[in-house]
Amino acid sequence: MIEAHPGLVSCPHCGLVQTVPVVTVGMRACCSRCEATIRGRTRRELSNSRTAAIAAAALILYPLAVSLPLIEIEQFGHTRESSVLQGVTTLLSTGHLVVGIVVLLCSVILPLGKLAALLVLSTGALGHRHQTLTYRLVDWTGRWGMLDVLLVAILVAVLKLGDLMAVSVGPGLLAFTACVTLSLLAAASFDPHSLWDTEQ
Amino acid sequence: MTTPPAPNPPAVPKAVLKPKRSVSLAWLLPIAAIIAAVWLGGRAWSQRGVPVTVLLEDGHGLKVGDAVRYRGIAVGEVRQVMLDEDTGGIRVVAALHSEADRLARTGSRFWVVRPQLGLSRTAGLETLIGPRYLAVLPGRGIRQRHFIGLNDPPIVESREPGDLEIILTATELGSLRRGAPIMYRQVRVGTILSVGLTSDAGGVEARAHVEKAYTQLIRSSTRFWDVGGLDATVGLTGVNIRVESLEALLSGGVALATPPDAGRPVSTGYRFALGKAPPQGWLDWQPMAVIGSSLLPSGAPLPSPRRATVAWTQVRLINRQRHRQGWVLQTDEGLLGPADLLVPDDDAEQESSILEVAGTVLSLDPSPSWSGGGLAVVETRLIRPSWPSGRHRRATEPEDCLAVGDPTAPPMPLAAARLTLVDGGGAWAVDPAVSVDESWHGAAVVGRVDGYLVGLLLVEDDVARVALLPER
Repeated sequence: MIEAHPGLVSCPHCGLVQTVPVVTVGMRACCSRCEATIRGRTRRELSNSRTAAIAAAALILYPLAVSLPLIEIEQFGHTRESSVLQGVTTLLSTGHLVVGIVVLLCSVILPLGKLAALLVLSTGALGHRHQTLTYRLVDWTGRWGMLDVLLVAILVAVLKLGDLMAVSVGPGLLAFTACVTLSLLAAASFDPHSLWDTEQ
Repeated sequence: MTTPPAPNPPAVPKAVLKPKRSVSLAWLLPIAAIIAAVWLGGRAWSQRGVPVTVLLEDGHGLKVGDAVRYRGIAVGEVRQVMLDEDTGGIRVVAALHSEADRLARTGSRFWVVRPQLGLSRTAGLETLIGPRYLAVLPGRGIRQRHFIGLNDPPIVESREPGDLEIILTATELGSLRRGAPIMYRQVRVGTILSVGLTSDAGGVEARAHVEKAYTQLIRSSTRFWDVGGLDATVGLTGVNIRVESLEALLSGGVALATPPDAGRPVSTGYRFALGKAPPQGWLDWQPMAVIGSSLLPSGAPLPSPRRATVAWTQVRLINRQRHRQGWVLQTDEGLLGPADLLVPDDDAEQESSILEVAGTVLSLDPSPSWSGGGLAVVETRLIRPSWPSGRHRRATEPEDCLAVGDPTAPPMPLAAARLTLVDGGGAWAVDPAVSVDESWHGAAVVGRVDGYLVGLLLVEDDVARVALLPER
């Protein structure tokens, strides 16, 4: 069994194993290879403030992203516009229960869950054991939440249907794109090492 | 036994100390997100529109997402279409854009526009391919949100105060139809609004609407007769077919004539009997009634200017024939017109200016009976009737007025906001945004408040001004 050598930390970005000196007030410890910050804040603050900020921004935009119309289609003067929630209700009400539930889960519920979990984790409100479970949840919902896939689907629809009918961008697309981007950024900027740093 | 000394761990790099950054820049993101959310949400909220409920008997294919249109422009859209349990009809909930909120008032009329093909009326054809829409005509009352829609589009779209509604009674329907025209000398002056049996089953009566401009034609001794269809007499000498007009042939119609001793003007609801044949010699009747305009008060006549051309020889190295055209108005004092028509130019050859108006030729002399401010009066009585001096007025501040050029064409309204006082109070300059071309040069300008003549419209190089009458 290799005993954990005290003071050895691997840089979260480039992986270099190095010793970390005692950090004085007002200073931070940076990796000697990639100069990313290793220490210098309290455990919670390391990358968490950034993750929390991004996750909060994504959560603020989320209700608008799913309720405002994403695209507006016009053909022979008939105009239809649809948002994510409207699409889900249409699917469910016309009898496509399985498809409707899958879309509801993957495009509405799971992305929301991922953002909420990230926010909770990065603000450090949970106890130790719950934290790990929540982190696993973040990982799992990150794979199953397909908000970005929905964005690609809309892009394809706009390009292809644009030949047949007039398709225009609705007011919700800005919020939706921002939400997708921020969700990806939040997951990327979250450093799981902060969950089990026992020092500082 | 000696344990081998623990091998020295390989040289381990050491982290470097650097000063801290104070506040992470990432907190700008939630702030930006809040601003974006508030802006998007606010915009979506303000475009939500004002909800209006309309009860219809028949939906005619109206569905969610169809537009609500006023004068052809979309002002809202249909949000819900559902069955109404209380009345068994259709309840439509539409959202009007917030600036169109003033369309929903007491008296507003809503109806579904659908293709209507008929002998008397073809309308709404754009809805054959495109979607149906809900049309609205605003009322004039206070704000209201619940309406009962019309089943058919209203026959007369705009009712002005001053329009006349009369009742025509007949023994049988004949060619009376909803929407049938009422004609005077084959010019349409009104419409039949509705037709039905009288309440005592003694005959048929129809409500008829006469436009404001022609209400002075309807007097107590006016005669009405049915001219729908065709009138054929077959005899040994041949077949004689008379048709009033194609419209009357297809949709029926009523003609009217007013004798010279016309009687008094009638008020709303006056009953006239509908005859079968025109009175003898009606084509020669000259009722001397005033045909006004819907933009003037009832009974105010429109001036009838005449087209005039002045021709002269311009003295130059090589003499040239010049001419100019415009309108002149016969008044009690003489012919009133623009000075450049009635006063010979300075460079015109002596005695060469001639004015052609109303089929006669006048020689113009250099000093007319009066001129000033761009206007001139030539003493002559060519045309009857003349505009009475009592209907002249000296105006100072710009006011709403009408320019009357061609008597048979609609007059051009000039709003007070488009006129500015110039020339020390002698004229009003017309805003260049109002496009006035040279064919309006010399048009008579009457004030809308009373129909009195206030001046003439002079157009030079596409710049228009109203030259005001001086104090007389």
